[in-house]
Amino acid sequence: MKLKDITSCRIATELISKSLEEKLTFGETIKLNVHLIMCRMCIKYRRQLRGFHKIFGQYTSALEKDSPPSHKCLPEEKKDAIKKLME
Amino acid sequence: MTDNSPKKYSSQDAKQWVDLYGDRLYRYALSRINKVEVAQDLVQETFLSAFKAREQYRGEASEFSWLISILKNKIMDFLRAKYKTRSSEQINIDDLSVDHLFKMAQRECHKKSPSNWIPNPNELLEKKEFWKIFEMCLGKLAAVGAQAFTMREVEHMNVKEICNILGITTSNLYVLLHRARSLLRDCIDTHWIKA
Repeated sequence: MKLKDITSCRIATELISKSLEEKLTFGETIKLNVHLIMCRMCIKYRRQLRGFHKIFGQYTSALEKDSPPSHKCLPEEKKDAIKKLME
Repeated sequence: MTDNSPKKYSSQDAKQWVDLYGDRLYRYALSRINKVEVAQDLVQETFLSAFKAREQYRGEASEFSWLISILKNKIMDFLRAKYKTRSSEQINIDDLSVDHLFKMAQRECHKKSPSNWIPNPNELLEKKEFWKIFEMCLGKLAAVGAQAFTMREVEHMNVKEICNILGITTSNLYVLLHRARSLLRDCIDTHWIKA
């Protein structure tokens, strides 16, 4: 096998991302797995991406728990304006 | 004798929601649409809709969950309208380049290795700093990338729905998601100080 035939990290990371949306085809799975045998960086990459995939859905719950919020606040004037509209 | 009738929400209660939940709803809106004015307007519309519908709120979900579900609908309406009007014009997916993350040589290897850190759902939910870094990194993505990303990874919408709203093909969406994930992973891995 020549070096240029080997799947690049760039292609491998595309496949790792795709695998979070749908089942990879047989050919894609082989391509990815052959790459992963040789590339520790992509193994770590996949581990992190899978972890994130499970975590980001918690964002809304994290916001509910985070009180009082310390940054990126809705300006007080805006809050007053909204309250005025609720008369 | 216990009173089983639902709590009546007064105009005063509704005003309190603004103080209690305004900042958090705004942060959420910013994570989905990184434009201050739009985010503020969407939060305002959310509170006004909630105010008008306060009689219907039965208290099954927490107040925050109820308000954020209204906000999520407002955001979807906004995005639908936004991308509908530019359906003929191709969305520029090249705004979100990952070139700097890979070496240009034949194997296009990572320039910097991902760390050994593995994100742990049980541990991170409570860590406020983590979510701030998440927001900061999300803010660096180009608009359409961040929107595709949050619909998929935060809201777990299916691919078809997201493509419909953004008016793009599945393969375009996959490119957007791949790039957004690469950039976000790199950013979070760089900034999150591992405990």
